Amino acid sequence: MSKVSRRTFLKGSAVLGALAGIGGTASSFKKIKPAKAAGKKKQVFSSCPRNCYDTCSIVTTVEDGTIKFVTGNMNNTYTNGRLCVKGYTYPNYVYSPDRIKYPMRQKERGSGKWERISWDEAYDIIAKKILEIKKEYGTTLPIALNKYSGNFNVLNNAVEGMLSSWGYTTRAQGTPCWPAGIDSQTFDFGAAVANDPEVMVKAKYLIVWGANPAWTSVHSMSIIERAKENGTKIVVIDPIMTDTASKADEYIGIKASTDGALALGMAKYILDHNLHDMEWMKKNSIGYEEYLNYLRNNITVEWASEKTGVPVEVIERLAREYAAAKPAAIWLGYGLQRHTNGGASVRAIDALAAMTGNIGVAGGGANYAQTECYGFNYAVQSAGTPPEGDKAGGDRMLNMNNFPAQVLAINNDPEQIPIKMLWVACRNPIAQDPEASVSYKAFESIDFIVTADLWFNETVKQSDIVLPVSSIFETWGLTASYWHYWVNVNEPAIEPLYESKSDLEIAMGISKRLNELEPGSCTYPTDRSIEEWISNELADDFIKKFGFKTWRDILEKGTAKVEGYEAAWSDGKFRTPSGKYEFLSETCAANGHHALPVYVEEMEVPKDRPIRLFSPHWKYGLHSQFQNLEWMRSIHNEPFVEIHPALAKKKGIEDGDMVRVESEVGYVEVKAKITHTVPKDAVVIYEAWYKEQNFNANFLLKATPSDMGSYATGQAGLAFHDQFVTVEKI
Amino acid sequence: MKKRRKQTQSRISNETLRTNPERMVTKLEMSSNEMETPVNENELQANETGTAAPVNPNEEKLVRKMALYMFLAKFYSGNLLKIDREMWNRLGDMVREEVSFFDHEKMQQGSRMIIQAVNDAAELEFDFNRLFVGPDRLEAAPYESVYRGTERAFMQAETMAVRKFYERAGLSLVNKNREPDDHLSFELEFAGYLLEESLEDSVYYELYEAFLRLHLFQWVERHCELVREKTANGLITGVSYLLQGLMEVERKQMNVLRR
Repeated sequence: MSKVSRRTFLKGSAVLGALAGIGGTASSFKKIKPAKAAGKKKQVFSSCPRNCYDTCSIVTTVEDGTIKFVTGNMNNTYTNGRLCVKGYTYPNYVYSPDRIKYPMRQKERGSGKWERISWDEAYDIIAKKILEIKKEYGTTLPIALNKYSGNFNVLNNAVEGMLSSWGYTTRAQGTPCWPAGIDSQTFDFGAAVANDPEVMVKAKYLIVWGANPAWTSVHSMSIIERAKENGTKIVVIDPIMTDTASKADEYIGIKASTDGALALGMAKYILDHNLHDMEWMKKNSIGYEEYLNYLRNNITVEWASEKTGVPVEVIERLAREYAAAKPAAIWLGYGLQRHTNGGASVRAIDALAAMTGNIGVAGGGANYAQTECYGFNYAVQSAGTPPEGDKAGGDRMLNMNNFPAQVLAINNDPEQIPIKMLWVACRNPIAQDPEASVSYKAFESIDFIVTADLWFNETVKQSDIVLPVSSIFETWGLTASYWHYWVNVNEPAIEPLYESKSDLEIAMGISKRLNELEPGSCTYPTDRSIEEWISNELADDFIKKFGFKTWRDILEKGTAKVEGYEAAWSDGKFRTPSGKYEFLSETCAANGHHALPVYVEEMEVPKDRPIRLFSPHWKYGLHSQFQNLEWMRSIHNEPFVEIHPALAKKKGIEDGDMVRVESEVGYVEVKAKITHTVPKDAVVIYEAWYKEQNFNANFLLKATPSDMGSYATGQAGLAFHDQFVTVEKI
Repeated sequence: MKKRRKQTQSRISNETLRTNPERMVTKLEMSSNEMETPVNENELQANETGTAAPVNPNEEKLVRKMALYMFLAKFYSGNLLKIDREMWNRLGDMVREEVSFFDHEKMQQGSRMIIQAVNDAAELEFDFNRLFVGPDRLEAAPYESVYRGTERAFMQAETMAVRKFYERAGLSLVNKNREPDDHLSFELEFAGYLLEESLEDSVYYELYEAFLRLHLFQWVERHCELVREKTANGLITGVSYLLQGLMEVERKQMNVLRR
């Protein structure tokens, strides 16, 4: 039988004939030369862009276009060749069958009835909605953005630029993480500038105060271990006996929210025993006499002991050891400032470091954070400027930390321009915001919601359209740390999976469609490649600082260090109004706080809900990220509440029992884990988003503001750890 | 014009394939077209009806299987989601016509269900996406690696083995590295391609049998059973019976039991 007649026979098949007419006839395959099949191997530099101290530089091994292996970049002495448990999951993350693959539209929010749409359709639907809003209101103010720290790659600032390129819009402003402490250090030093953490190894004495690097900054943990080998004493102060505490020489279990009292008590002892550094204070500070007088007149070690629950002799010994060791370092964690007096506590600890002359010293410092490495031009953001004619004249800022309530307030007030459309990127607000029930109501009050993400989550579920975002391995990027002093580059390692696109590509795509529909309606450039965009991002002075000729030189090692921060403030040039360290800050007073770092009373424990709830970071996740991945789920996929045996006994709860934890705003039912690591009057539920489980610590959390944050970050922080509950066996 | 070798002479035993899959591949590479060109669509898809020349029953069976593979591949590629009730009626009849050739209860059950469930076409896309596409966690992921690997990730060893198989047959995905090679629609399309090529060169028939044994038989039936656990949609359930029945027919013919 000849070839022709056989093929003709095939054509007799009715099914094949019919199928040819449906959905095109293109084959999914192409013919190749067998010799070409063997794929090439390469290694590229990637950069973990998560909201994390460690911000790792990654080496990614790629073979035949697929990722085989990720590990830490040895050129970056902080990452030092290793990743954390979360970073090592990246191959599992990139190649999960559950990633969002296509732009999709939901028939009805929350229905789970999704249909695939093309990018062209998605752009068209979104662009028409924007134009419709603009026509009706004369401004794009009814469009709101809720975006934050899911991806800190500088190119993701394109999302802010994109919104601006449509007009003036409504923004979720602020930061949930660290604002109270940022304000404190801004009042005291003029800015938060920590010592290079790699120099922590030089400390003779190290207090880790309200941080848990064993879980949240494992690369710092190896520095701490090295210091320990050198003979440095490691002290951990925390209400929870963390894994970091278990590795310390001494653990001090402090009553929550009384950290300021401990710092002031220590300072009083140091002053009484003349262990303070008068010379440093005279030379470098203002207000020290007032501060010392406050200690003399208002503080006793006994008072501090009563407040903190730490015995007098322990406070005295701690103070003596800290003052005697030169240099002595303090690492201030973000946990201790998530209180209604958190900013005040940070100021009291700063003052302790300053009065002992530990500021401006390598191996010393009151180390909280730094933003010195963000040497970017933010060209992707500034590329978008509101087109002419938007009558609003400026963006409308809402507090990210109380966003749902503020959206509802606006949408329930006929006098205000309503919020009709919401864009969510780099964030899962329904899982991450307190008062989840209010979030659902706020979402309901908005007509049209678009979420750009890699993963299906509670926020996507409440959206009309979801756009698939490419992973870090599929695009360009630059990231900087807020802890160590490295800037990392991220080269594309592989092609984007399915139809995923970066936030920057999406910004350009919508702009193109907007201008097709209505020329001049969007200012965002549409004609640049991602590589062109990234080439504009590294600031000239950083290129110079790194000794580079062009930005591309960073591709050689994948990472570059900003030098000169072994001992922050060693030049004595503080960025305060006085140019000195300010024990007494008029700026702080002008912002409604005390001028001096005085003790601010902690929040009163409500009688009907006497148990404090902590919701700190979880070791296998970062906010709502990572815990949803298969590798993590296979290790652990069941939330739990940690309860002290004494409290458990009182409540008749045994290990493994299901308990109901209830707060003013909601409840969860969760398994009890009995442990001595938590205080007797508190419980711990780690913040994490468990995929497909109707559970979240945030169901319980109230949006109670912390004392500070609005000066330096625009909005007050959240008192995540001033939350009170009842616990009962079910 | 190459002569079709008699299957009894040329078929390589299961044992040989397990121990020496390279043997037949070498033969194939020597005979395959070395041009890097897209597959000619007209060769794969029919666009005119004509009276088939008389052929022997084995070859007719082969062509009917090919039609079913192509139907199933098209279904899993998502291309049949937008068609209406009428079109499903027509397609269902055609599938029944192909299926009638095989005296197999599960396949017939599948085609009956497709015809009876045309009303489910309205919800087909939503159900299909929930099971196979997303955006939520897939209820019945259509990737070989999900069934054979332990890590719920593609582009691992399982996917690469499929890629290697395609390459040995001189093919590569047009969307290589953007879509995983072990998606069910690609594996089914590939099986159909091998069948078509085997009309001219029996080496492709050997590859076809090896592909079934090494890949489709390793997971497709489990997938079909999972699909039926997760959906009540008659069209999708019908397709799952049809696909599982086809695998059973193939197993019987090749004398490969399900483990």
